Amino acid sequence: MDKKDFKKINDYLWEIPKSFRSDMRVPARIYASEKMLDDIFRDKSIEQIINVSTLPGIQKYALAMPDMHEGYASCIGGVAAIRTSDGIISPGMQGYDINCLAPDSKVLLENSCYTTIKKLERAWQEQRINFFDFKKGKLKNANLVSFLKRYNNPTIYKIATRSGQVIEATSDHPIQTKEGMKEVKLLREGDFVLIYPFRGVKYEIPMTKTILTEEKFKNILKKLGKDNSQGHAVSQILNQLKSRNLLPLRFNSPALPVILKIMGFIFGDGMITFINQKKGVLHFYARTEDLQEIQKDIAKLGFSPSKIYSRLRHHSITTFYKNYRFSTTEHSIKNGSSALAALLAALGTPYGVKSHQSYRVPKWIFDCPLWQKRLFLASFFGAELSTPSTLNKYNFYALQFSVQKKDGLEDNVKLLLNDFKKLLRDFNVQTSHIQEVSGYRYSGKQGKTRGFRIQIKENAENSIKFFETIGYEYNLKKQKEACLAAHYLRLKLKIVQARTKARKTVQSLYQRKGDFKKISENLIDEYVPEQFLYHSIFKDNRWSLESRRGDPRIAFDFPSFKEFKKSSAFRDNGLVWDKIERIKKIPYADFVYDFTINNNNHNFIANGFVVSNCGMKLLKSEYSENEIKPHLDKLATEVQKEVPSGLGRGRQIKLSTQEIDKILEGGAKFLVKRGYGEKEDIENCESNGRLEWADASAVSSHAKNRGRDQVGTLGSGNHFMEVQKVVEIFNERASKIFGLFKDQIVIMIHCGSRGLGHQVCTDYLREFIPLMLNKYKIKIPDREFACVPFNSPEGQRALAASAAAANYAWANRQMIAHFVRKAWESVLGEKTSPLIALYDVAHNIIKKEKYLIDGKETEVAVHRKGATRAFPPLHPEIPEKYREVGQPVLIPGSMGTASYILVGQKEGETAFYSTCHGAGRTMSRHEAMRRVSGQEVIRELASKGIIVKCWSSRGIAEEAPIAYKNIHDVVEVVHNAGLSKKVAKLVPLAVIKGE
Amino acid sequence: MEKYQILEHKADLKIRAFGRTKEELFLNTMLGMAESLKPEIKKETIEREIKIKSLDLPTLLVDFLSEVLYLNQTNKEIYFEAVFKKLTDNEIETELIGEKVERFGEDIKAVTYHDLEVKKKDDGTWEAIILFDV
Repeated sequence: MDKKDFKKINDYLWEIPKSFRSDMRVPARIYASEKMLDDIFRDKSIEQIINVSTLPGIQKYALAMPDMHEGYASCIGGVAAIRTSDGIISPGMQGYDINCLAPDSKVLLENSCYTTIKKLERAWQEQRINFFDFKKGKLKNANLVSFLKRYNNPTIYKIATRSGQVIEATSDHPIQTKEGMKEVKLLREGDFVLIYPFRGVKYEIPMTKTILTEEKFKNILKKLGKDNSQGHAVSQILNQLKSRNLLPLRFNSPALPVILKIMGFIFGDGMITFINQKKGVLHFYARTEDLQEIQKDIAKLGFSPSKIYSRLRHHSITTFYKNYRFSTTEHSIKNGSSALAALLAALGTPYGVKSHQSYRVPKWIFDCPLWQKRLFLASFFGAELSTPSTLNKYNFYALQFSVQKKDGLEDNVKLLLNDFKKLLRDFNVQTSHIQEVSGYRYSGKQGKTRGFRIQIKENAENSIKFFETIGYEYNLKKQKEACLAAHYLRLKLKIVQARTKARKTVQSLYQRKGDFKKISENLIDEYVPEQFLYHSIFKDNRWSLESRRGDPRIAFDFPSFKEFKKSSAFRDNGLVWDKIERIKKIPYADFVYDFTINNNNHNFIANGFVVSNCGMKLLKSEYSENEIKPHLDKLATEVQKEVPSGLGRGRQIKLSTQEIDKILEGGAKFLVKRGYGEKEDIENCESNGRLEWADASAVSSHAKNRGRDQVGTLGSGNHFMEVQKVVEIFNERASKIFGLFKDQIVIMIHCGSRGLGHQVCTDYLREFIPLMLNKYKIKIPDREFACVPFNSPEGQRALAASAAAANYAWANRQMIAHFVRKAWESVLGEKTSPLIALYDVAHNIIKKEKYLIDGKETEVAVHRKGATRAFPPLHPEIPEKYREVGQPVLIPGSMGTASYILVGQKEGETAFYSTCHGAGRTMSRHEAMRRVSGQEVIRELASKGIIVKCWSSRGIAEEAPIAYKNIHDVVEVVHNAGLSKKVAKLVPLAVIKGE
Repeated sequence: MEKYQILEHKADLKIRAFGRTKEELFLNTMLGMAESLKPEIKKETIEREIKIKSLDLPTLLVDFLSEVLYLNQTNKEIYFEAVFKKLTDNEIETELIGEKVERFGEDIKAVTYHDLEVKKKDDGTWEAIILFDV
């Protein structure tokens, strides 16, 4: 690879297109000047950033900052935003391959809507499609892994089946037959192929319009009698809903499809109750297999469903004829989240005893696109609509559903039923008039009720339409029957049509010619047997009269529904074998499409990203250089004495396991509470010095042991402290807000989470590698990228552990700041002005952040390895006093060279608000040691007036400035690229190393 | 036979180790890591035992060294001898013999899986390449 493989986006941004390597998912982008680009080729960092772009779930680009250099797995200076919700797993996994279909081929998507494969090209990465998992014998849905489009010439096969399904595919397209998967070119007329009769509704992109705003929701809660007077109930509910992206709720909220299904079900066999006006509980009653689906959906929303309960119930129904008593086992689940109950109620779902109140189908549902209306209807029908069943061999009972309410609410019942009629009309499904269910008084616990019902008109076309487009949700049994019924009716319809035509023809021909034998010869075929034609002429009374029920034209040689199910149904989930009636080769010169799916839903944490949680803290003083100069040497010595290196010299501390746990979960906040710092230290720290999703129990005892004697230690390698002065101000306004001035003395601390952070990494890498290979089957270019799905229990635990390590790092820097303040006071005396923290940022970390990607708000886990977060002005996570100008970004140069303070910019959104972290190495430690000795470096720095304090000069050579890139060049790039703007430049007066 | 070599790497430490047998390879890699830690020995002999199970041989080597590093740092010890009770492709059981340490001159942060290589050469001897984060 060389420079010409790069596309120049602008003077500071270069792109390696996705096409450069076949396994890249996104392009790789490098922030660098043209001159710096040449240097990048000297090591493996480019290959590494390309490897990063292969990671499943990565959004937009794999990014590299100008200080990039080779690391292990990812290059240092790498940023990747990986979508946390649902993502794509790497290729190389077992999948169900579908090759090359014509552009108008319809593909069934998740949520039972369809789109054409051509349309899928535009948004395939966001769609999930339905497919059949043969191993599990279930219909499932999955993401698409890859999408291929090619130009096909000159022919394509057109296959038509008996029931009227048509598909156009290339000769190599495999289709499931009774003899296994066969390529299209090997299929013959008379072969049976497997089809899924349900078609769904065309997919439309929903609007961004809001259904429920926070304000409206709060008002509704007030009306329901819920306000903040009962403790923080309302704020708690709001937070719970907002954190799950359920409020505000929009037509295109990802959670809406599930909410519609749940609502529809509650309109039927579910219930919402509010106990004592406080606790909201949802109840669902259904068969076990359907409750399992509901459980999964509740979990998808972010709530926890209960297990499945079973109990025996006794019923009594009095009809005109007699009183029926029977017992059934009732299965149910519940969910005790008041937030979810309140949300559903606010959306218009009735709560409490449904039969005792008036309610309608909520108005906003009528504004939904058809496929969303379908979800509401289908799950209501799953609960309330009758199962397709035959009254005689060939004909079905009309599907019907009824609503029961207590005496006096009849008008509301009719209005409600009309709402459903209206919805069904949108699907062109016709219904009967509303009828009272006479002679039927249901006497359940709630007292006497009256029932009204609607039927779905039972003619074949209408029934087929219903079964194929709406069907049932949350009721696998009914949905299966619906599929089989749809297919059966199609066959029947075809035969009826063929026979009706044949009857008319034979009758008219016979009238003219009279020779039955001759006429019938031409009309007899698979659907029209001779007997039928004979009876059409010679009118057998049994068959000519239109019977009240059943079509006489069918009785000939046509299987009953029962027989049909036995012979043609495939397993027990609605799939059927359909006979190929006709295969034709047609001329076709156009694009054809192909995609691969994977039947797993994963995204992941790339654990190889997190090394340690190294970062930087800056303390400001009120002093200028002149005031400090006479005390400088003493200050440096004292600081070195106070801050242990952690390698065995200096102060030795050892914490108990309980104290370590408190630090892992409390971070810097915990230490400040204990008196090791000021309130401002926490306010002026990234994430307030504490990630709240940290979990000390996710950190191994190995890691804790390594961490117990390292709190407040500096470590070695490229970690150090400097007493610096501000030499140049670039941005007056920002400097003022940050409290910086020329010649000001500041102290910079650069270190991380020490051994604990590394041990956490080692532990999880070790755990992930077998999981990745065996359980989740993820393939990545380097084992150091070992990963698991983000939402898996292992992934979430690793996230919690990495957060604990970050907390440890912040606590470490906080502790060091405390010791530095001690040294400062002891040298400068009581009258010293305090050292105030400017800010504290991490350089290696994984954070969950939200960004607008392709118009959709997406939560991503932003992995920054050797990169700094740089939030723009007005970002809520920045301390209030800095908010108008942006987040302070602290960039250390290499030891003894300049450092910079920058400020985050809005333009940085393209890099997920990330920027460089330092200078970046240009040569190996060995080479640096070969070129220069530690003593030489110290002498050189001394000649510039810089004091160096270190225990041994050994590590100094490795960290010599010549081993690093030019910090000025690096900062120029991020400044000009708009990632972060220069605020001030600092130079060291004293360097204190940890060894 | 040379025990190990320190190779060039930009930011970290890369060691290539050799051994006539698998056991020797493991021992020499550990020695390479030990030297890089630059221990100041206290002259007090100690013994430790390690038992590990891993996915495959390269992972086993990394896991072994990670455990050794952990013991080095938390106990302030360094090991020069290893008596192998068991060493297969997936399992290791060994007794380590070494000395107490006053302090370490260098810090190794972690043993990585990056560019990991463990192979048996044509002449029957073993070679491994491992990268350490320093």
